This record gives sequence, C-alpha cells and structure tokens, in this order.
Amino acid sequence: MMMTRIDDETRITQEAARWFGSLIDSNARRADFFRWLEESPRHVEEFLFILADAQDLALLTGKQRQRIDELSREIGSDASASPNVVPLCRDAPVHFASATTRDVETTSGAPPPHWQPGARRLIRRWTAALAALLLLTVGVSWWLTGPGSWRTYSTEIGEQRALELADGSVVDLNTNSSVTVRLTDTSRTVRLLRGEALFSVKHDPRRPFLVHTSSAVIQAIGTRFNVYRRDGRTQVAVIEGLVQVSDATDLTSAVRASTTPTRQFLNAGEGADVSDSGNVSEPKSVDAARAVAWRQRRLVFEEDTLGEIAAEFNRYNAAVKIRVDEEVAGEEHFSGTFDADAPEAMMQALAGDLALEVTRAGNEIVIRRREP
Amino acid sequence: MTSINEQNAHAFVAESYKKYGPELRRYLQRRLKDRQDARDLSQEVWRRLLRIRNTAEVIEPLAYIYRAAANVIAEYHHLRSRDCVSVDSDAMQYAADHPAELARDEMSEQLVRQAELQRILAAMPKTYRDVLLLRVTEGLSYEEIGSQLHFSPKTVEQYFFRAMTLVRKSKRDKQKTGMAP
Repeated sequence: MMMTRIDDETRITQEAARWFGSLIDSNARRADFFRWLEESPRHVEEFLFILADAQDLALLTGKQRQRIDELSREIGSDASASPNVVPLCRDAPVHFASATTRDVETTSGAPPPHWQPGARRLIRRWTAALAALLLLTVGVSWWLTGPGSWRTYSTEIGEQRALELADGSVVDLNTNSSVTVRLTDTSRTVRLLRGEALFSVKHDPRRPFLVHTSSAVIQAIGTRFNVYRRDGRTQVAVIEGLVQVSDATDLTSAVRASTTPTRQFLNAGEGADVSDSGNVSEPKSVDAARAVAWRQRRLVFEEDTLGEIAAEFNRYNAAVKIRVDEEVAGEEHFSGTFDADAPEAMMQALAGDLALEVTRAGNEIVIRRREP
Repeated sequence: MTSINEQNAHAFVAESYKKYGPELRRYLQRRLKDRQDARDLSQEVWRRLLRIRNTAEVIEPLAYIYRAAANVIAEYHHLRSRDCVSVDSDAMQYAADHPAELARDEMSEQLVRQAELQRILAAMPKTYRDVLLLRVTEGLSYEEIGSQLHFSPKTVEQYFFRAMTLVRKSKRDKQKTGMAP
C-alpha cells in the first residue's frame, strides 16, 4: 500500500513535469493537457507545484547559476556527467564498512566525526541511485503500460462485451462501441469514444469516476448508469444511485457571460440528453429496464420514428441493413420489442402496415410509402 | 493574439510570478508542510475546470491554470477579510506602516528557496541540470538544446522531465523527512 502511494506520487510528478515541458513551446496538445488535469485534483496540485519550481528556476541569476557549478564540485556529484551513469561509490567504500546505515539512523547527536560525512554521502548517493532507478524503471514502465496508462476496448457491429475494471467496476459495451479507460490511485476516467455502455461503478469516494463524451461529463459515485453517444447528442439514463451530468460548454463564452454551465443531478429512473452543443436537458423519467434491454439484445421502441428504428437495427447488424425512404423516415411512429439480431421479424411486423411497402433487395431492406 | 510560445518561457514565468506569485507561493509552501490543509486549492481549481470545459478555446493553458489558482486564492482572501475574527488588526496596521519590511520578507523567502534550489541542482547529474536551465532559464527549445549538447530532441525531453521531477521530489522528500535532500 505504502509502495503504491509513493509510485503514484512519482508518476503524477513525472506527468506534470512532462506536461510543463511540452507546454512551454507549444499549445498544440492543450486539449489533452486539460483532460489530464480533469482526471484528479491531485494532478492540478502537482502541476501548480511544478509551475512554482519552474518560476524559481527562471528567476535564478547568472551568479547563482555559477554558484551551482561550484557547489556541485564541492559535493562531488558532477564527475560522471552522463545521467545514465549513477555515481554509486566513487569514493572507496571504506567508511561504509565501519558504519552501517542503521548506525547512521539511530545515532543522533554527535556521531564520530571521522566517518559521518562519508557515510552520509554514500547514503545520499544510494538514495539518488534508487530514485534514478525508480525513475527509469517504474517511471518508464508505468508510463507505457502501468495502471496510469489508457487502455482501449472496442466491440464490432453485433458484438457485446462485459469488462471488469481493476477497481471492480463493470463496463458493459454494446455493439459497435469503444471506450478508453484509465485508472490511477486518484482517478477513474472513461472516455466513451463511440456507441453505448452501461457502467456499474464500484463505490470509492477517493477516486471520482468520470465518463466523458464530446459534449458531456458524467460523474458517478457508486451507481449504475447507461451512456449512449448517438448522432447529435449524448443520452444518459440512471439505473441506480445518483450521477451528475454536466456539459462541455465553450469556455470563453462561459467566462465572458459568467454563466454557470448547465448541470443536472439525475436520480435512479431519470435520464437527460446532452446535445452536441452542450445543452443538458431537464431530467426526465426513463424506463430503466428499457434503457438496458440491449444487454439481452432486445430493442424496445416506444413511439419511435422509422428512421430511429432502422438506425438501431443497423447498429447490430452488419450483414443486413435497413434503409428507410426519407419521405417516411421522420413521420411514422411505432412501438414494439424486437430481437436486435432479427431485423426480418420487424420487417414482417411492418409489412402488416398497409401504408408501407417493405422490400428486400440483396442485403438491404428498404421501407418506403406504398404507392396508392 | 499572443501565446506563450511567441514570447519566451522565461518571460512568461517571470511575468506570472510578479502578478500572482507570492500568494500562490505561500499557499504551496504551507501545503508542503501540512498536507491536511483544510482549504484545498487544487480541489477547487479542479472543480472549476470540470465546470468550464471547452479546453480547445484556452489559448494559453499555463497562464490559464495559474490564473485560476490565483483567483481561487484571491477569493478566499476576500472572504476571510470579511470575517472579523480572523483578521489580526495589529499585524495589518504594522504591515500598512512598514511596507518595506513585507517586501523584505518576500525577498528573503525567495532567497531561501533559491538556495535550496541551488543545492538540488548541484546534486543532480550535470546533463540534467544543463537541460533544465537551458529550457526554463534561457527558453531554448528541445531542438536547440539538442543541437547544442549533441542529443536528440527526444532525449533532451526525457532529461528535462526527469530533472524537473527530481527537483520536485527533492523538495517533497525534504519536507517528509525533515532532512536535507
């Protein structure tokens, strides 16, 4: 546990330092930078510390910098010059034999003057060596593959998948969907890149669980909720617990107008839509069972238009596609429950409608108005 | 439209220090000493970032985050100044009468920090130190430093972020153990 904490601390410091280094020159990656900041208050704090250190560095005078070189020669840490070579024991470790580290730690007051400086220096070097090793091994490996890195999971058309995250939370991915996930000791961040997912979040107050889409941020504590990215909007439905949905408003205009960005709290059985322009709708009651019926591969329609119905079926089926003539796409409203993998069943149901003509041509089902 | 990369880094940090440095600095200093500081600045800044989110519009991210932190601190002071109990009127009066001494405190704090920084820099490998100073103090790009020291820009970047991490870690470790780094 102790170890984990230290590693996480180091990792955040490294990330903050890296961000600072890249932002001095170019603001090209600022969106990624803000995403990183948003993952945890700890990131914000660490970045502020790095900024403060950088200020002190920038304010060093030429004279002070010369003094550094003198100091460096005095404490003798300079000779090896190459950062890949850690000066472990350039002095013969004679003193080390006469004084163990334990002695140094337990002897307070006035240790024998003949060995103390050497031992101190050695310990300091060992600490430096360990720190360097930690930086090189832990740092690099955590950076690339560790719990601090992003992992992406995707499903093909028709495929569904349940992912258990390391924190015990479960993400059910619907057809043709993609999420990228990052867990650290201080944050749990999911980006829904496309499609739909049901989140069953393990309660952990120390680590906020955030789901981002292009226009919305959904924050959960311990709860189950469904997020669906569709054309023009993000739909959120809460099955259990409480979540907060906020928009991703245009920063400058929000600042200029000093408006509070739209934000809604949703209880179980409530849902909200966030438009791509960032408007969060009022909470409305949703049928929780319907919202997650997709996990049984059921499609539930309630007064939906033919266009919406076709789009839903097409999410699950690569082999057969439904095409709805523009003339009827927005008008007709239908209700019913269908098997997501059987568009033919729906085709038969619609064929009973005298106003519509349903034809199959190759792997395409075409729905249009029946000519009188 | 000016952005940081049009000025140099030195100018930016020096400028922002003048504008908001001392307050933020004092806060961070306290924070190092007492992790349980009830007023959690970063928590508040983070909350604001989440609320206002279209980051593509932020032209100067460094300045933005700095200003956000400074604003939170300023608001906090404003709130506190209305709270009679927490105002030490004698100290306020003294400060009003002796502005030069306050400035001197500021200077001495800075000198102490820079002495510490000198020690930390002296203890790290020379290449790290050179990269760090060229980047932050001189405002050179990774490419420029690379051609000067005969490393690839990628390597320079690695050295830079490791050096920066070492500085931060040394300060933190010192606070934890109460020993010199």
